[in-house]
Amino acid sequence: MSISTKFLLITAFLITLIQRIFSEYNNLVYNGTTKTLVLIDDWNYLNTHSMFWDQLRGR
Amino acid sequence: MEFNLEFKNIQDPNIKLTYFDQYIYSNIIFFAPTYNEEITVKSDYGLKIDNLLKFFDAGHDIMIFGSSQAAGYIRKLVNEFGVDYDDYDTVVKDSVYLYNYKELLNKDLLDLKENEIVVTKNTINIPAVTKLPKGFILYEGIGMDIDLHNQYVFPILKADENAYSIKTATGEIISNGEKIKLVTGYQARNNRRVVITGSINLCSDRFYILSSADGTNPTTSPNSVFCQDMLNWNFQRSGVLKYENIRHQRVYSNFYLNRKRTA
Repeated sequence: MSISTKFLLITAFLITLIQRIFSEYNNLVYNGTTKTLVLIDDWNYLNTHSMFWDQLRGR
Repeated sequence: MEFNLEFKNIQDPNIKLTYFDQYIYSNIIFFAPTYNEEITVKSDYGLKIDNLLKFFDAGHDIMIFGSSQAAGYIRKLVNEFGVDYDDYDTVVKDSVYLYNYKELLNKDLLDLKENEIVVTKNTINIPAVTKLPKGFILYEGIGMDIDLHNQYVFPILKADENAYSIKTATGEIISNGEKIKLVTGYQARNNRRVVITGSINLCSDRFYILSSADGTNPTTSPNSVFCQDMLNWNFQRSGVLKYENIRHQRVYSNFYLNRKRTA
């Protein structure tokens, strides 16, 4: 394998890696998936409305 | 319905709806009736009413839960959609149902003898929005009124004829019967939708169980089915017109669908 081929493969690998980091692990970057923002003033609602959250999640 | 939920405290000053002018969220659910202040210290605060209206206009849906403690921020937000919560410290009450519908209700509910929980079957008769409930839907919270001149807003659930909205401090009755709206819907010209209710407990586990006549199957109880219908309509899973079987052809081509025309 020539040096230029190795260089290209390594570059492609790095670009793919960076893209994955930004698209999957950084919540602030829009990655095409739809998210629903639930704004709450009392964390107890997570327990008292568990069936409602399940309905939203499709379970 | 499979939504990826992200829970955030509404008081978090760093909440942002956009990132590089791209909206991060597809929908917002407000589960914060007591939130009272619009943070204005940071000019880019994401939850300013103006920002929410821009979010809505850009093609997103919003669901808003209130309560009898509904505070200024939520009141201001629902006003933008032609809905007005009843005055501060008012609550919808009814105790007649404990006698009238005694045979049809869950025994645990009857034992509570709670007149701040009301029951109703008074849903809007549009199947695309909600089905007629098989039992009574439970509600606990504040009533609403809608702007009659606003053609985009309509009631989805109204109170039973015996219910009344009363100021807890003075005992003054503000409204009664079907005039009290419990859940309202708003559909804008861009087809985006808002559902507003004055009861945070409407979709709670407790009401799912109590609205089930025998208390055994909360997932098919009237409150559960109604909340599912609310979600379906609000988030474009029902009542959406779609084109099907679209075909393209040249204007003067010999091929045309005339089966129905010539029949």
